[in-house]
Amino acid sequence: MRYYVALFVFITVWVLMIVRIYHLSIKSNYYYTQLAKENILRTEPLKPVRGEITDKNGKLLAMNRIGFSVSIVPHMKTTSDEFKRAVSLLTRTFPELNATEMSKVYRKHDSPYNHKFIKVVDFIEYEKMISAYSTLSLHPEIRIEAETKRYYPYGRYAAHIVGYTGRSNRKENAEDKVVDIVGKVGKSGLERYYNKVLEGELGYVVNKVTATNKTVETIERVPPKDNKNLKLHLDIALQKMIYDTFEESNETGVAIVMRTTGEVIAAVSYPSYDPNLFVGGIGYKAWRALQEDLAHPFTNKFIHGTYPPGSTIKMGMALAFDKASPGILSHSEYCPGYMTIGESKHKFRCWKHYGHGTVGLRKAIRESCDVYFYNKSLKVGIDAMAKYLRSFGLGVKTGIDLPREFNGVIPDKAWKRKRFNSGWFKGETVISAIGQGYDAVTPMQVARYTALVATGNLVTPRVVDIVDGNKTKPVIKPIYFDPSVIGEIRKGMYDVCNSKKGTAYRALHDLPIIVAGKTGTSQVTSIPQSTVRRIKEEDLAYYKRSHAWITTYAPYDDPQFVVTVLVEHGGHGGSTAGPIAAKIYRWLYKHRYFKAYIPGEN
Amino acid sequence: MRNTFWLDFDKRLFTNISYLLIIQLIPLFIISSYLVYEISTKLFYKQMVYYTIAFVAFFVAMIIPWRRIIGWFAPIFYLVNLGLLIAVEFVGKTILGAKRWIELPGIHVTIQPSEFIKVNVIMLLAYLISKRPPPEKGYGLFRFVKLSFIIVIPFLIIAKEPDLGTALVLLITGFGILFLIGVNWKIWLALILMASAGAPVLYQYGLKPYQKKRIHDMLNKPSYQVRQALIAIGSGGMEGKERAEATQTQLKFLPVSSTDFIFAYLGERFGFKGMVTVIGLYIFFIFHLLFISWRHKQDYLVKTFAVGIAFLFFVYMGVNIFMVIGLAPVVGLPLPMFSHGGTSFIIFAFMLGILENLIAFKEKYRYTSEAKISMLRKDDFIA
Repeated sequence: MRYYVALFVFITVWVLMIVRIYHLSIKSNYYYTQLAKENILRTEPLKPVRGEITDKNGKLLAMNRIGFSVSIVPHMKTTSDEFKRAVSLLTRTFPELNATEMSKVYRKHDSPYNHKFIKVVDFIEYEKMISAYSTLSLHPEIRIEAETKRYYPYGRYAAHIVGYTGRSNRKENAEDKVVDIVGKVGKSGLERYYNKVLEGELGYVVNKVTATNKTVETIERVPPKDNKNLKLHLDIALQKMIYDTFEESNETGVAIVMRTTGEVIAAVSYPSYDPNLFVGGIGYKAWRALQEDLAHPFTNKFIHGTYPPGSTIKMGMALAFDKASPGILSHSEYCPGYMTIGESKHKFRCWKHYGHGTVGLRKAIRESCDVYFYNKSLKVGIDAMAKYLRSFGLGVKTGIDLPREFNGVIPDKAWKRKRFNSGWFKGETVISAIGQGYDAVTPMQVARYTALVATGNLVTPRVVDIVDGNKTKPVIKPIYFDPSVIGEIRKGMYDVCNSKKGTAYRALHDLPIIVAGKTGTSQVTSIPQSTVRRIKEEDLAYYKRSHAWITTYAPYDDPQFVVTVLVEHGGHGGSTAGPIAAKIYRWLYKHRYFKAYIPGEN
Repeated sequence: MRNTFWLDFDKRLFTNISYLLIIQLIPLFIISSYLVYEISTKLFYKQMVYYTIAFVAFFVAMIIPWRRIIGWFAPIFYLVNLGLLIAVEFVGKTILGAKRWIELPGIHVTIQPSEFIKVNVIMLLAYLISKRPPPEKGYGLFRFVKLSFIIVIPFLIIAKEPDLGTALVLLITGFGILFLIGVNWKIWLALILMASAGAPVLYQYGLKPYQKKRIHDMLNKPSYQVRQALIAIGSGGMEGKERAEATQTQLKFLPVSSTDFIFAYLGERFGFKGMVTVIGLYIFFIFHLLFISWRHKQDYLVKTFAVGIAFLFFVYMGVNIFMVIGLAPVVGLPLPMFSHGGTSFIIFAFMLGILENLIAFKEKYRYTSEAKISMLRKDDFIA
């Protein structure tokens, strides 16, 4: 009896045992087979090499320098002798390294869950490492890996266009797998806009590994897809020439050189910064200095600076008047030097206080008569003006292939209600008509609109010519204008540069090609306003000065290029911005940019 | 007289022992050696050394005249080992947080007294039971308590080391013997009632935090080792996998694959069939031991030893396999005579040697002049 009880207990245990084993090895066989496979297969990504950026002549604007990173084995105490030995070996080999900095980085990344080597030195140049390599590689706790570092040979000259890369943050890592693996992302400029292309595609290698993560054999290897390059329309030589010109004359501002089909040959925002500072992570001091510099080197002024267009808006304004009420421009206006509105008899002055007399369209452009535009604007009204100006590309994004472009403002009644919750005054219509008041546009918008006036086509500015082997296509939208109106306007622009009465005659009349254009003087609203308030009184005089504009195209009878220049606080457009534009045209001519052009044929 | 003794001795030793008992174990040795060989040839050679030592131990145990010496040997051996267990408390070596080892002075050999206590307890119980066999209805309370002390004292010392695995083996084996030999059923009933009332209290206050954690982990999330063991067994399927395909073991995901977790490698390599074969071999072996015990109605030495070894095998294989398949906490008990490892294997061999000796010379009074009397008793023949 007792033996039966014992047997019963034994058999119960054995049955339970065999049932469980049956469930594991027969019923759950598939599940556990998968787990066993997951155990042994380790997929590791292969990093692609970031694509390069070249200018139109193949000059490298962004490249990868080859060097090495240094990592230390994980799970060491930073106070331990082994760790100290490793670090002191590194500081002895490379005196510029900082031991406390390395310990800090190590502590930050070391955790029981991290079995990877911890990178304590991001980049050491190839030449420096090559002599030390044999010594360092003898130490098993130190690992040296090939590494590339982004380098911008032209530094500040094209910083606002090319941009820079930096260490990616958590949000960027979550959005893009490649960024997560590579740890770097384009932070601004083309590096950011074309990040998806430049970064390439990850490859991977599937290894069979042991429990201690040692590779037994490689099962599969898919190389990364990289070498995805950008070739720009930009000519870095021209870019450099313009930048140096600003530097020599000690002016800040913007210059844009664009083909009338939208290809951006040069776009300078002066002053600029050295993008190489950001690649390894910029120091706090350098960052503060950039942020607090009143010349705003960090702001890309041609798409992020918004300025009142001043008189450069007048061609667009005239075209908007004609679109809003066709034929309105066939009537001349009389300019006594001012006009008045309403019962208060508030005077709106023309810039020429003794007046222009009788003014037709061509004269209004040539001499930039304000009263002509005051009068016409009151007949058309702000809403119609705004509608057409926006359709000409003012106050709207140009669509350029650079990130975070600004809109600017071309106001109308609805905008003002939304922005200030108040009604519109006639006086505001009047000052809007001469590009002041709420009007604010980016230089790129002005350049684009100048191309429209020159050719009748609204184009999208493009910095990049070839993306990973594919040529970008011009985006051209023709807009119909009354031929007599547009003809008169162009003649007016011709006069600006070539008639003795023109505001840019002095700077632009004696060029090898015939230039047409318009100057502008925009009263100051600076960007951003908060910094201006901090300025001491003795400096105010400069910051109160108006911005000087000139926007031109050439050749007059076969428009190929648009040159738009803005000199911040430059006073009158013809005298400060004009010479820069002239210098650009001479350079373009010298470098044979004008095709099949016979001087004097117009 | 002396000459005849030696002749006698030789003859019985080779005619009267149970060959089947030993032959039954040979497939286990072969499978075990094969698996160990696949894991590491170095370990395999070590295993062969253990086998040799174990064979010597088996043979030595077989020729020692246990029936003649057990009367003084069992109590002294027991007391000496108990002394060593207590000595561990004071001069023991602590390895991995447990105080289980004692270093013999001068010769740098560490021994684990808790490994031997199983033999002592079984031997002493066998002697005391054979000296005063239980009445028809089993032992009464007084005898039961007396015999229980022999089990409980070393149990408490070992449990305190802590080595809960070995302690529980001792407890279950000891009381298993008492149950099968015979104790009044009322006592068992009372014990079961007390145990079911006391278990929660014991869990609350008697267990160390790490032991509670192990039980908790076992019930909720398997530890890394158990998880890898489950993967090994689960991926083996019906037939098992080729050596090169048995990645859990060959690529070292399965920890201690040659010792405590060898059953998982068996499952990975030879699948459900292999595991059931090995379990079947154990079942037959344990059945055989119980049968030997059952047949020896009056020879309480054989009866007790056979039951003792049967329980040891049952508890070891049960706890080890349950631990590998995730149904018991990881307590570090080997699969008996299958896991790679010296001490446990040699001790089992030694105990089997004792049993064979007892079977071979089963006439109680062989070493005395009155042996002939018992020769005539029918019950003392074994199958």
